[in-house]
Amino acid sequence: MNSIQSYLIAVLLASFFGGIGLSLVVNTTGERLKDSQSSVEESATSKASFTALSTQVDVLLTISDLVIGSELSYLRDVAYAQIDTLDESLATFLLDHQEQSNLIGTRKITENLAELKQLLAGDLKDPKSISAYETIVGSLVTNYLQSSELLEVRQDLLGEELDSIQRSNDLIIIGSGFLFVLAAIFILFWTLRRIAAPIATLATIETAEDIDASELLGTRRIPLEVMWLTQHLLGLLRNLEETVSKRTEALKLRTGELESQAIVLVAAREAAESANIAKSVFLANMSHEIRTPLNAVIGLSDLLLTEQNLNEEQIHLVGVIGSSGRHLLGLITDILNFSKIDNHELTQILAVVELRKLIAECVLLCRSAIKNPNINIQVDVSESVPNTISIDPVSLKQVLVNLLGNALKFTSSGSIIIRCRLKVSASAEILSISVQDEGIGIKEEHIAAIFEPFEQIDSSLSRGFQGAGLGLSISKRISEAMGGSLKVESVFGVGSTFTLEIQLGSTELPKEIDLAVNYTERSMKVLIVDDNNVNVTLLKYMLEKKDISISVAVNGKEGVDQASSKEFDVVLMDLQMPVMDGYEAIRRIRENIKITQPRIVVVTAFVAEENRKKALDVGADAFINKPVNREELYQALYG
Amino acid sequence: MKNNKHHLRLRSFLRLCLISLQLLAVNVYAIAYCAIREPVSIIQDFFPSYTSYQTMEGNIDESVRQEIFGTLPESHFQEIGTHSLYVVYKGKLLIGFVHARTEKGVFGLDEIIWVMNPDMTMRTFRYQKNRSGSLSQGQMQKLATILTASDLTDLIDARENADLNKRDEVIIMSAIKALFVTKALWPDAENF
Repeated sequence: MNSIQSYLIAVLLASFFGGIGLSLVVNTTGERLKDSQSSVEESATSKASFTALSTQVDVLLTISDLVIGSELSYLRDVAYAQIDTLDESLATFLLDHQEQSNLIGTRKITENLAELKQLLAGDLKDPKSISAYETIVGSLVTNYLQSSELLEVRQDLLGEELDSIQRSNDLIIIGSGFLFVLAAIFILFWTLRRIAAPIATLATIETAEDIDASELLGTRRIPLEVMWLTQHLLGLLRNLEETVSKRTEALKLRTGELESQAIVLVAAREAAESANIAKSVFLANMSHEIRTPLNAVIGLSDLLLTEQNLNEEQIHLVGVIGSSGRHLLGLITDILNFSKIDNHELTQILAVVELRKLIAECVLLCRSAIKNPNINIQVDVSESVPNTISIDPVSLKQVLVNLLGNALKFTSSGSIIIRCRLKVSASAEILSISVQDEGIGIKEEHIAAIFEPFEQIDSSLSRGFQGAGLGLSISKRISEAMGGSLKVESVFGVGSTFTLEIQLGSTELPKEIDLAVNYTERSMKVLIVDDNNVNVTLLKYMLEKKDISISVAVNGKEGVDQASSKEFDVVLMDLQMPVMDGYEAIRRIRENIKITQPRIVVVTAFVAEENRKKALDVGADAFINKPVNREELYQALYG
Repeated sequence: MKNNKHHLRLRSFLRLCLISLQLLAVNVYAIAYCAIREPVSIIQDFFPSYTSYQTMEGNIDESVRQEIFGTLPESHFQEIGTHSLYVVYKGKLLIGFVHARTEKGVFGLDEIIWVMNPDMTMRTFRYQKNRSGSLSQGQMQKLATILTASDLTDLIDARENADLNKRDEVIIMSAIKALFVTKALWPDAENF
């Protein structure tokens, strides 16, 4: 068995000796070619020199013809001289071209010249002389022409020999090139068959069993290196298969464990999701169940306060009932909100919002809670602030109401100022809304903890300022959910300023600010659809002093029937009712073309955003949370 | 050896210069004389029915040469001396003329025998001495077409317009000179 190395050495040696041999052949041929070219050139030179002698022969014969034909013997001397000249020219030619001396008949020409000279010396009138003259001249011309022809033939022969050598040279070069091509093809096929093919076969092997011993290891035609490679690969494959087998077993065990864990995790996730759903349902139901009686407590206490015949103690007691109800409502709202935020359920639904109007609504909501006449709420919105912005109005309203509520809670007298500014930089427009109070302020060491949940600055204050300690924490988290921030600056004993900053993208609408009540009371017919008598009673009390004709339906179906039979300006619709809920009732009213379509205001204790959205989608015009705020109710009725 | 070669070349060159000067000084062609060596045989060949011939000899002196040279300057006519004309008869009837001329050939001087018709048109020709090589069949055919029955004007015209090689031109010019010399020396030859 040979190795690739030995093959390569053999190819190298063959190339080396082949190259030397070729060089010798080419060199020899080149020498022959050079000699032949030299001979051809020499032959051409001698032919040209000999041809040049023809002029001298011509002159000689012309003169001798004149001597013979005209009997002008004085030309003999000239003829003699010409004979000598020709003789010497021939001698010179022979000296210059000695190789030609044996080839051509110069000796005969010399003899002819001698005979001619002798003849010219004799009697030229003798006809025999004339005949002899013609014979000699004829011989001279013939000898010259024959010599010239011989030279030409020799030149042709040498030219043919040169051509032959050139052809031989060409053949050697072409043959060498052909041999090299053959050798290259042989090496290529040898490499493909003996090296590339076995390696390609190895490349297709996936398992040790794939190696065909008879094809690879069993043959003596593969190079040694390929055999080593095959044996090494065989060992590797066997080790690899063993390793893979072990790892596969381990992987199977691990997969089984993971599958068991996955089943447990899926079960745990499903349990968590079920628990989460149960929690959401529970919170929603609890919110509804708590809000419904609170609606009556707060609403009726507010109504009692409007009665003229209550004494001071009664007013105080009713006020305590109302404020306790509101406190309880605030606690419930905060806990629900915090639960939502904690579950990352606080989604931002962007809308184009009239900022000044939204601020006015917040002030309006809080203004009803002001019991102290010494507290004054001021709004300062800079001219540069756009009238409309793109933001989630619910979130913004919640933060502002929280901040205003917080300010009202801790301010006994003085002003609460809402400032709205626009900070413009090269990269962004920042909306800054600050709520400044003249309350008790916060000590510096307590500022860091002000936004922590369930945190009250001073436990002693909890007694004086009711709350779960969730309002500011919720506001901060909502601010961050809006992509903004909430900061506080405070001087203990002087007051606090809470500042909300949000990056804007705005849509312009006409700049108007209306902090006043924005509706006009008018006579109208209202249908109250609610299954809860307390709620119905409360709404009746709220509306009885207005020029409003009230009808009542105790479920959705009854509400639809009454709306079909009688014309109403407004329908106040509860959502959760027996027989037919409020969503279905709204949908049927809106679908009935025979009904003169009233304004439908949903009044419900289901305060979640999805309830609002669903109600508006089926055709509601407005959405009021329970407990009902009177101003908000009137705004919904007349707005 | 080398000096000897050089000496030979120098001598040959000087001698050639001397010969050339002599040839220029003496108008060698002017003294060329040509005669038919065996006139009976020649006349018999060309005129088998002839009964007699007459040899006419005329001298071309310098005045005649100048006349010819003036008329045919391109002929380089330099001949002075005796010229022979053979007048051939059948009975008393003139049947032709024979005239021999010497022309410069490749090796020395060639001799051409010209055979003319009684009306002084050319009939045919033959080399008496030819060192310029044989004429090919095609060349002979071409010359025969030009020469046969041509008078002096025809030949001058053919020489100017026909496609002739150097050898052809020498032969045509020789024919022109043969007719011209005959007419110059024997103006009434047609009435012999």
